[in-house]
Amino acid sequence: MFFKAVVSFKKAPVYSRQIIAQFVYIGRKSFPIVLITSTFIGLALGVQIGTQMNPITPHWMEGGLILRSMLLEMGPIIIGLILSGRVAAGIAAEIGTMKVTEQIDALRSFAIDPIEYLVMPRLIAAMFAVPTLLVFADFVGIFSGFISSFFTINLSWASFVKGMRHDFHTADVLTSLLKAYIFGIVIVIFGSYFGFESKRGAKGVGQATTLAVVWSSVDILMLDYLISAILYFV
Amino acid sequence: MIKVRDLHKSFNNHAVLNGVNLELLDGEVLSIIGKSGTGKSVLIKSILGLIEPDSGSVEVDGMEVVGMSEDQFNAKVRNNISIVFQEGALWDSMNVGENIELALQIKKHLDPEEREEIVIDSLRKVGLENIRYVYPEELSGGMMKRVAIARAIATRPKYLFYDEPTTGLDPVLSNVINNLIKKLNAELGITTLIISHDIKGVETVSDRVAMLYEGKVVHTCNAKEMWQQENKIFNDFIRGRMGINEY
Repeated sequence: MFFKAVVSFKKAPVYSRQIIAQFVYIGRKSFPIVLITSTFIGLALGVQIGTQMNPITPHWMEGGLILRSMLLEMGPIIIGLILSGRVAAGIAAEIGTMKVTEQIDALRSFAIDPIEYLVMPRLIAAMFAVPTLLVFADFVGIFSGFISSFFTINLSWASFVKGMRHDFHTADVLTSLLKAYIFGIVIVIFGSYFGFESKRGAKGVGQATTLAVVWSSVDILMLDYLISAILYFV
Repeated sequence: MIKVRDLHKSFNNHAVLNGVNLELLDGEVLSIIGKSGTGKSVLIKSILGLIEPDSGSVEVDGMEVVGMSEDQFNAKVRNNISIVFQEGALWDSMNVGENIELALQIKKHLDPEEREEIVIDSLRKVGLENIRYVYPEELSGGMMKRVAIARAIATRPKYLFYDEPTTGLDPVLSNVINNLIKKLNAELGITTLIISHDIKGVETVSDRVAMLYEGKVVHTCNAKEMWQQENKIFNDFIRGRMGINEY
């Protein structure tokens, strides 16, 4: 399915309307929930790191720890899991319902390839929307981490920035974006696959939705580890 | 013309089509009747390549279609055949106009003005020109079927298949749909294949009637003479005399 969708990228201009609609669905409509969750993750990170730091460790180092935690793990993982619940489930439910109500057959009867029409636009949209969401999630998470550190260990903005500068690596940003990009693909492919495999009836669609969320979440966690491990050794 | 020869299809070792032979002549309205589960829908979906038959032959305008790939079906067959599904199968994420427009946008590559003209014309033909921006969830069952018909005729097909077009509709709406089918066949010259349980409607609309029983066409006749047939299965079915055990 993934390769068939990628092969159909050349027809993307014909589906520009569908791609924009999916970008709005995956990106803009996920924006509030991503901001809320990254805010609270950042706040929690600030408290945990601040209270568990060794008394002899300089406080300014918390900036770097929060920065790297958000960039390398928390940001991509939050985005991946939140979008598994919201987007993969939505895709599986929509495609599953289309299958059981003959809407997929209707597409085929009009010589419209269902993968080209339903998967390709979502895939392209996710490839742009998920990394974009990640950038916002990282910024918000890091800033809320600072707010939390300020109230927990009275860390100043200047010290927080000093810590971030000390630990900033461009490779971390690229790793973060790479993870988001791959998680976006996983979410769309698992959502679509289980939607197309949906059995008849409400129960079938419900099962497809559950499987899409479970498997995309598990795969995101597995891939998160693999990408981290591979990039560590590279 | 569409010719079906010795078509077989089984699901889980249960033979649904068991050697179907059928001809759909150019310009005619042919109705297929038969009890539920005899494979009527499977038959039309097999012709369209939505279901792959196990064996047999289907010729569309002299071209064998069984064994064709999805791309070949799209290029050679589906551009000439449209289908109106039982529940309409309208794409519910799009409004009525977008439903009709989609195939014109993606497959026919028409510009927006041409598409709009066809959308309005198709809706006018089914008497619903004012619902261009309404979503399927806001439509009644009858309107949904008429929109599905508008969507089907928008691509100007040579053949139009209807899968139980009047099922679930009251007698008045059933009449509206039957008259529409007749009108479209006469005005646009579309060769029409109908699957139906509405015997009165079949008699009104069709030129010929074929009965599918236990996976085979057991009787074919002129629709105007359907009440004078001697075939027992056909007679019992159209008069509603088939025993419940035979169902």
